[in-house]
Amino acid sequence: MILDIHTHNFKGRADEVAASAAAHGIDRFIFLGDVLRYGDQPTTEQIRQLNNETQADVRRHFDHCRGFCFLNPDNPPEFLVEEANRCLDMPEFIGIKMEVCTNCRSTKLDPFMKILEERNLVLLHHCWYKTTGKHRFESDPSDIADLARRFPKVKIVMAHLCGIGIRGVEDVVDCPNVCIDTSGAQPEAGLVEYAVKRIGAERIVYGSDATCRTFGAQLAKIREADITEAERNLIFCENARRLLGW
Amino acid sequence: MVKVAAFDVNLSTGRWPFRPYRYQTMERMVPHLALYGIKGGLVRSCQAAFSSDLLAENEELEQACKSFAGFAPLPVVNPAYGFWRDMQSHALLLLPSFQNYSLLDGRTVDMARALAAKGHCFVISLREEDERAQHPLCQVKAPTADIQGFAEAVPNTPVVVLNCYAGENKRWSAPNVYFDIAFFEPFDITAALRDAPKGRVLFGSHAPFFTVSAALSKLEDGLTQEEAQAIASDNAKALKLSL
Repeated sequence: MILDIHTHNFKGRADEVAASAAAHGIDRFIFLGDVLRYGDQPTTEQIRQLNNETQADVRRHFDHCRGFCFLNPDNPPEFLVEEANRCLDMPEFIGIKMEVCTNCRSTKLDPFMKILEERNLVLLHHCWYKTTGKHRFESDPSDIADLARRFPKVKIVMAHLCGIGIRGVEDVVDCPNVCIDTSGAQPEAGLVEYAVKRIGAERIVYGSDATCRTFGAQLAKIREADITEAERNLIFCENARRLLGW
Repeated sequence: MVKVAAFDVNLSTGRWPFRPYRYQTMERMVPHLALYGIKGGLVRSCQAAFSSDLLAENEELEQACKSFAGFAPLPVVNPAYGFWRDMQSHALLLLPSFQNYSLLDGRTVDMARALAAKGHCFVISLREEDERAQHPLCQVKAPTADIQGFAEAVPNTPVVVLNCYAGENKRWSAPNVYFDIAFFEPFDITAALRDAPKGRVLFGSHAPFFTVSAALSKLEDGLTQEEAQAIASDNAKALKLSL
C-alpha cells in the first residue's frame, strides 16, 4: 500500500491527480489545497473558498482521499479557530496545512496548534532551506524545530526532504514529534538514506508534491533508496496511516 | 510498461565539492546503472566545474572511464585554455557559468566555430544543483538566456543542454539545441515530452546526484515503446554521442 501525504488539488486538476495516483499504484492521498492561488496573504473569504473547494474535491474521491484545512495565521484568531473547527468537524478533513503566510515561530499559530493538540491531529508545514527565492515569511527547519518544541504533543509533518536537505534533517533530530515528508524538489540521491540513518524510518513519510512533481519520479526516490523493505514500507504507508489514523 | 535500453548523456564522476554521493566513482556507479538497464553514457568530471587545472581533470576522467566499455569521458574545454585546439573527443563539455565566461563572448564563439568546423559537438551543463540549494557563497547562475545565441553561432552543430527545467527549453528555438530530462519534471510529463521538438530530447539521469530511476520513470508514464526508445538512446545515437 502507498499513501501520498502531499498532493495539491490546484484549481481544476484534482481529478487529474486522482487518476494519475491510481495509475501509479497510490492507494490513498491527501489534498492539501490550492495554497498559493491568492499569494502569501489570503483573506478569510479566500481561505474559506479554498477549503470548500478541497472539501468538494475530496468528496468526489472519498474512497481514496482526505484533505487538510489550509489556514493563514495572519487572519484574525477568532476566524482561525472557527475555520479550523468548521473543517475538522467534516469527515473530509484530517489535518491542517500551513504554507508561507507566516513564519511558524510566530505565536499567531497558537490558536490552531491548540486545536490540533486537543484533537490529536496533524500539522503539515511547508519548509525549505533556500539560498535564493525564499518567500518573505517562509519557514525553514530551524523554525519548525522551534514550533515543535513549543508544542511537543502536536504531530508535525515537515515537508520537502529534498528542499531541507541534510542540514534540515539535523535540525529536527531531537524533535520526536516531527516527521519529514519526502515530497518535492529534484530527486537528489542519498537524502532518504541520510534521514533514515539520523531520525529513523519511523519518522519519514512519502509525499510527491503533485502536481508540482510527477508521481513516478517521486516514488523512485523511495524505491531506489538503499534501505530495507521494512523501512520502505514504513515510509510508503505505515507511518502515515499511524499519524493520520486513516 | 515500456522497457528501454538507455544511453545516459548526463553522468558525472568524482567528488562534488559540496557533498559526497554514494555512486560518485565509476566502480560504484556503473553496476548501479546496469541495474536499471543503462549500459552506456557520457561522463563528465565533478571536479572540473571549479578546477583551475582542466587538463589534469580531463586526464583523470579518461583514466576513470577507460575500464568501462560504453561509458565515454566528456572532456571540458574553456576558451581561455588553449588545449581545446588539440581535443580528439567528438563531444566536448562547456561550463560557462561555473568557469566564469560567457557563451556569447567573442573568444568563446571563435573557439566554438573552430571546433564545429572540425566536427565536434557541444554539451553544456546549465546547472548541477537546484539554485535554491546552492551553497550561499557559491551561487552559479544558469546561462539559459545565452543558449539560443550560442546555438545560432554554430547552426550546423548539435548543442546538448543538460539539466534544464520544464519550460526553460521553450526559450530555444534553434533546431540544433537538444536537452535532457534529468531536471525536466512537469506533472503531465508524457504530454510535455511529446510536445518537445521530435528527436531533440535525450535521456539523462544526472547520476550520481539524482536517483537513476527517477529519470527512467518519465519514459514509463504513457509514451509508446518507440517514443521511449527514441529518447532513451536513439536520439543520442543519431548525434553520434554513444560509442
